[in-house]
Parts: sequence; C-alpha cells; structure tokens
Amino acid sequence: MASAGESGDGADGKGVTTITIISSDNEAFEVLEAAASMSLTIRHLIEDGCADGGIPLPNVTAGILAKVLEYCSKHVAAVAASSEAGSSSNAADAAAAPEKEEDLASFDKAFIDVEQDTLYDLLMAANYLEVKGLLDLACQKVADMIKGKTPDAIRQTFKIKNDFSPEQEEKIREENQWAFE
Amino acid sequence: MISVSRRMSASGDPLDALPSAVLADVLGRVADAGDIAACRLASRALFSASYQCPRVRLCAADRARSRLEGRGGGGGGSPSFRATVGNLASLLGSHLWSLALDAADGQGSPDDAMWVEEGEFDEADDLHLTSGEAVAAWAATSAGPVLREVEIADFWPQACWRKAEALPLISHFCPSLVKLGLRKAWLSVDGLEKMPNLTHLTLEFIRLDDENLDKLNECFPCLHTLNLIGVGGLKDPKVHLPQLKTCRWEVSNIPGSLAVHAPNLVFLDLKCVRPDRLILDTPSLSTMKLTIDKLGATVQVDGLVSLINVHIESLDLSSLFPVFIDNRAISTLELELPDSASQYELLQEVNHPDYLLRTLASISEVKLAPRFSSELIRCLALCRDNQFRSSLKKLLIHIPPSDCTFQLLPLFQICAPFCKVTVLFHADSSDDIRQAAMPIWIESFPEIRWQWGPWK
Repeated sequence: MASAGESGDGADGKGVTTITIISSDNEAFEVLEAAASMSLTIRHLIEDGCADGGIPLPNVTAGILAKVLEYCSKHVAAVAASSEAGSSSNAADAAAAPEKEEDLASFDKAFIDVEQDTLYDLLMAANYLEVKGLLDLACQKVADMIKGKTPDAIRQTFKIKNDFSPEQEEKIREENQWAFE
Repeated sequence: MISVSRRMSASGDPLDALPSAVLADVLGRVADAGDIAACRLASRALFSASYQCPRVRLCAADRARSRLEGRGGGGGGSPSFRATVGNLASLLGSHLWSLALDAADGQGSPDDAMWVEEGEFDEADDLHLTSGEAVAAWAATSAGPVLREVEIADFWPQACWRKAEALPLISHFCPSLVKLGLRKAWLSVDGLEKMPNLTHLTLEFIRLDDENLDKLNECFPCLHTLNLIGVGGLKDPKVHLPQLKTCRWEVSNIPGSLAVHAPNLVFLDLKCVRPDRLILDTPSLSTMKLTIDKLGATVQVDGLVSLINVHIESLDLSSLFPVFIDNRAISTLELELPDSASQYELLQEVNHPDYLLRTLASISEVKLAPRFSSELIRCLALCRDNQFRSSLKKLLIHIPPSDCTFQLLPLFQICAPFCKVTVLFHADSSDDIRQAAMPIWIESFPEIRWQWGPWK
C-alpha cells in the first residue's frame, strides 16, 4: 500500500480509481478511491477536485494513516463482497454472508487491540478524517476499558495522575450524589 | 455546573488530548450513571466531557447496591431515585438524547393489575417511574425536547395498582422521540398527543387502557417497529399502522379477536392463545412466526401474497397448514411443538402422517425443532406414501437421545436430489447409535449432502 503514485485510473488495469494520500511525515499511500472515501474529510476533498497530486494530511502520521487505510480497505472490500452476494442468485453466496460478517467482526476486534497511545492516535485520526465506523470502534474500545471500574482503577488503566484538590473532589462527589448516583 | 480549572499537564491526563466531543461519545457508550460518576472523579477530561454525555442509564438496584457498599453518596441527605433522574436531565440538558431508567422488580400479570394481592403491592411512590410527577421531573427539563430514546422499566409493586400518565406526558414534552420503551406499568392514554417522529415502540408487561389500540394507532402513526409483549387490558385490539415493518405481539387469551392492518409489514412474530378471530391484512408480509394454541373459527389471511418464511409453534397443524402453507409459495418452514405437548399428540392431531410428509416435501427449506422432530419421528413409522415430487433442498432435524435412527428413513426419502441434510444428534445420545446410523444413511441416500452436529 505504501507506494508512491499519482491518482488516476486503472492502476491495476481493471478500471478502478486510486488516489494518493500523503501523511504528515511525507509518506505517500496509494489506495482505492472507494476505500479512501470512507473518510468524509477525504471524500469532500476529492469532490472539490483537491486530489490531484495527492491529498496531504498534515495531522496524521504514516504509521496511523497506514492503520486507518487498512481499516477502510477491509471494510470497503467487505461491503463490495456483501453486495455481490446480495445480488447473486447463488445460494452458497447468500449462505456465506453471516460468516463474512463474523470475519469482519473478528477483524475489527483484532484491529482495535492495540497499545493505548495507538488507540488515542486512532481516535484522533478517525475523528479528524470522519471515518465513522472506525471512530465508533475506537470509542467503544475505550468505553469497554472504563466500564465497571472505580476511579482509581480508571486512573491506573489510562495512567492518569489525580490532580484534583480535596475540595474539588468533594464538590464532584456532591454533584455525583445529586445527579448520577 | 462546577467550575474546575484544567491544567494542561503533559503527563497528568493523557485523555486531555482527545476532543471533548469524542470523550462525550465514549461516556455515552459507558452509559451507566455509576460508571460515569467514577469517570468524573478519575479524569479532568472525562469530568468536563460528562456535561455533554449523550446517553445515560440509571438503575435503581445498582444505586441501592452501591450505597450499601458505601461506594455511592450515602446517607439520608441524598435525593430519591426519581429526583436524581430529574437532576441528571437538568444537568445534561440538551446534550442528552438517550435516557434509560430501570426500577424493575416484582411479579404479576398485567391483566390482573387492579387485583394484586395485599402485600404484593407497595403504596410508596419513590420508584414509581411512570407516574406523572416522576416523568415530568426529567421530561419538563431542557432535555425533554431533544430526547430521541427513552426506556423505562417501572417498579411493579408500586406501578401495578395505579394508572400512570407517562404516555401523555412523554408525548407532550418529548416531540423528538424516535424510540420509546416502557415496561411493567399500568398506562393511561388520556390526553395522548400525536408523536410523528416515533418509529420504535416497545410496551412490555403493561396494562394499557386502550382496549382496541385506537389511541395507539392514532397517535403513533409513523411506527416502523412495534413490540407489544404481554400487554393486558385489551379487548378487540387492532394494529392499524400504515408504515409498520416489524411487529412482535405476545398476547394472552383474553382478547377475543386480533387484527393487524399494516400494508408494509414484512416481519410478524405473533404469540397468542386461541383468538376467535384473527385478521392479517398484511400484503407485504414475508416472514411470519406464529405461536398459537388453536386457530379460531374466523381467520382472514387472504392478503398474505408475499409470505415465504413461516415458523409455527403449535399442535393445531390441521388448521394452520391449510391456511398458511397449502397453495402458497412458502420457501422456508420451521416447526416446533408447544412445551405442553404430550407424547403422541402430534400423531393424534395429524390423522394422515403422509400429509405431513407431503407438506414438508413441498417446501424448499425445512427446519424441525427438537420437540417437533421427536414427535415426527413417531409418526414416520405410519407413513406409506413417499412417491411425490419433492422441492426439499435443505432439511434440519434434531434427533432425540433414544435410538430411533432407523425410523428416519421415510423422511430422508422425501428429500430432493442433492438436498443438504443437517442431522443434529442429542449430546447424550450414544456414539454407537451415531456411528451405526451415519454410514447406513450415507449409503442409502448417496445424493444427499450430509452435515452432522450435536444439540442439547
């Protein structure tokens, strides 16, 4: 995927359109336009004719961009396969649909099982690039890391230093008792 | 709102780097109010984002438990559960779009709501969440007009013996509501206003003072999904909803007639007892699950022109097959018997087992659930005729633990060439039985594609 190239038609000669996306550290990624368009941010840039020569993303490093594009490519391929199965008269294709959904769910689970720093970077990138599915996945991951934990356990999980003063903490507890507990 | 200054420390709170809207999204997925309270104490970033939390769930039992364990705010000064809900809605205001309240407990039947035995009901109202006062506490805040989802599970001992105004108040204060779920309450419809944005409604274990569903039909005209599970107080209910697509309806034996008029309905799951009249005016219905003791004298289902998937749980097959299966283009049929069915009842019900086999052979895909499988196997010994055309391309059967494998031959004989047959052996059945049967079947029916598996 990390190969330099210009946007244009038929990189593989099959009539599919690819575009080039350039990370903040100047690494270029050539991807299918359909995959890149899972990002609303990129889709708008393409629609506005800003894709020529590559789309620069000054806020996203190569490592994270690679991950985001991996997610988008996998999901766009799954959507394409699912529409083929839907329009196919082949019963085997239709029967395989739930298995393919399971494959995608397994992919997502493995994909988001990353170090915390990478998770935050993915969250930021998904938010900036407006990749809804990835943002949902990453937010859900963080939420699952929080559920059922005490404040101390949450701080430990996310390596948060407790810098509330005793007075601030007391006010928060009062408000918690009033509205949350 | 408390003002707490945020120090941007590089290592103090790594969540600081994330946008507040993203953290609010995270908190909305956490949803549990107790967990959100813990987040507010753990992190400045989460504390700030908590005021924008879009979704919260409060559970009275969890709250009581955490107070007993000393985790939550304790003591006599803490507000009641109902007051807490109101405070929360005021605090989050127009950021809150989903609210779930759970005070469920207790038992009883919605039809008997007025006649609960002394000692089974509670005269207090601190957990009566569907009462007018309790609903107004949160609905009349700035959250009301923006809320899109509300779910309330009421406390049955307090809710069962008094009619509540939840529905009219919600219809008045929450015009943007898309999804509403109410459980375990007695609900009035007096003063109910139209809710044109509501597309999903679930009423579960409810006594509803709308005996024919007239008010429901009038005020919720845009429903796509309707779940009426254990809704009592009905007399001759008619679901009349032009945009309904999915309906789950579980009703007791009290209503004399049931009717569904829904031109766009595609999925219906109907559990009933013995309605005298059953009317299904549902020309788009493609999938129907029907659990019924007995079909009544009056059945109007002429309009079921799109029906292709049928699931029946009943003994009354001699009435149901002519109405729902014969002369229709059904492609998938699932059959099960009620729990209460005793041995040989299926045999008594179906005078001619050959008719049963002929019906199964006319369907492309058949799934036989455990109880039905067991009883069908008893019938197969009496089958004489298997010389008829078969459309059966896929068959699934559950074999009971006993050794009855030799009795299955008439069933396999009706399979079309290259039929895919899945045989699920009971987990307690002996290996010897399986290992003896499988080669015989494979050899006797070389055109069948076999799959095996366990069930329990």
